[in-house]
Amino acid sequence: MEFEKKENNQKDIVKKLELDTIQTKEELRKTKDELQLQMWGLAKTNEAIRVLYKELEKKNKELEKLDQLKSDFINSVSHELRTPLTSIREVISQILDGILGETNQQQREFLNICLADVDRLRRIIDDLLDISKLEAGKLKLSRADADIVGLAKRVISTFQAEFKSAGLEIKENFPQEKAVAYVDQDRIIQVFINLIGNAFKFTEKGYVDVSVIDWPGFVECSVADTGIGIGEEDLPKLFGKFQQFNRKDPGRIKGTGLGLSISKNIIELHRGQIEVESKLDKGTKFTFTLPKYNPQELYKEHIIEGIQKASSDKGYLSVSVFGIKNLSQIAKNIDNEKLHSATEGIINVIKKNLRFGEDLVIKDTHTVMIVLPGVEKQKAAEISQRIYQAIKDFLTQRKIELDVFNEVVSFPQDGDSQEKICDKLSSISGT
Amino acid sequence: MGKKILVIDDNEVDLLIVKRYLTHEGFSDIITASGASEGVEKAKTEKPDLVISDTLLPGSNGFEVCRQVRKIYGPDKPKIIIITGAIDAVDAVQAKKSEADDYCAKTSDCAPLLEAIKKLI
Repeated sequence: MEFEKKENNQKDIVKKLELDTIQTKEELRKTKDELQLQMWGLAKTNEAIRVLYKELEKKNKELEKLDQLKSDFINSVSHELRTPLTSIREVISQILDGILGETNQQQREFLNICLADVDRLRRIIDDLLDISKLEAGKLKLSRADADIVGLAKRVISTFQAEFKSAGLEIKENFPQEKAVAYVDQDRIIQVFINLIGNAFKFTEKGYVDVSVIDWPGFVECSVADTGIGIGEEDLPKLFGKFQQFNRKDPGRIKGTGLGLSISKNIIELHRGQIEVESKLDKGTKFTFTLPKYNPQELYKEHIIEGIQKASSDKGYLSVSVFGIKNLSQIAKNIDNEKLHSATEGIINVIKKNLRFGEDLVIKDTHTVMIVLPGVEKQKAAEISQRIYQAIKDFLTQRKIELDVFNEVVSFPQDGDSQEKICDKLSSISGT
Repeated sequence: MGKKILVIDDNEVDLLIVKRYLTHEGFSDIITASGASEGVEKAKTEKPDLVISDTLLPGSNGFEVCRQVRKIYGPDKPKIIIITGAIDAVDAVQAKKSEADDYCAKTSDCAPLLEAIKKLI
């Protein structure tokens, strides 16, 4: 009896366990199905994202192509527009000057309006050309050491009369006499003209303050005005193309809406930054910085850029180095002024004998480097020989007792990496 | 190919793109609907071999259309593809749970859709 009960009990337990197992199996199966379904969903989504991404890439490429087409179009149209405009301007000027016969007061008035509008049109076309070049990355800077204070003063002097007749003051704030940076002078002048011109346009009373400060490592320039200011909501759009705000336009020169966009591009091409602060009815202040380079950094940058291009094109790059032999000893016996004028003379000879841009000549403290992109060693040696001879001629002619050395380092013959070429170059000295 | 395809989408342009693309691929018998109820109605009367439905439809959705079509015809016929411009894994699972046969992205060249169609009919 006791035994039978026990057996029954055990049977019950087994039965229950079996039932549990079936239930668990069923649950597991359901979970597995659910998981498989989820996996299918994820796989589908994944695939779709891949497809959509590809489509996005394709569209992006199409847009890039269209953008390029647009730039090319603007570029060629601008060129075509410029030519006839030049002759129109010439003809109007001649009539105004009375070359084609007498004109009366009223005729001259109208002709002057024509002339002003022709000039405006030319400014717009020039701006369009600039922006299309900048956007295509085709604007090449022709850089040299320049005194930014001097550039600012030059621009201010051209505005002086306009400011005076509008009853505005233009303040100069130059704590240092000079602030030298390695820039494209014409382009920096263009930026100053843009910023000061803008300040003039939007300021009815008060003053415009131009400052240039020489900091270690960079030059900081700013143009501040007491004009109408820019609303907070417009500030982010300020450097965009064709943006014009708050035009009350008190009958002064009209803009193109491209100036600030061009200025920003120019400053950034110099690896500088441009910023704006503004308060409505209080005024606007533009500040831009121009980093200074030391010659070492500069020539390294040039050479690295050149070698990168050469290695991707399977091309060449040569650097021809000229320097004065035994400089350290000579420096003791010759006065500084004389040495300086001799090196300046040598640099001029080199520039005259080069068919490439001036940007390629970099002066170090005691050597001059000529970066020759795309030129292989043999050819570079020939060019160097010609320049070497010219320098010798120059020195004998001036009766300067200096000896010059020359060495050519070429990629890839003398080193197959940037580091190797730079090492080789820095080991060159005239002793 | 003689297969009848019903396309349901409330976006007229999308509808036109899909229709043109399928015609180009040789499917000549294509009918369209711009809403869920119209779609289910046409599925009932036209007896298509394949239903393609957008996920989002005014006042309803593609999954609902799918369930109703299945209620009419049962699990095997017609084949149903849910298409979408907004890819979502949760939607994909819901499509499968509503007994759709496939779920795929709307693209301008309709390539993924055609691939899905070719697998089904």
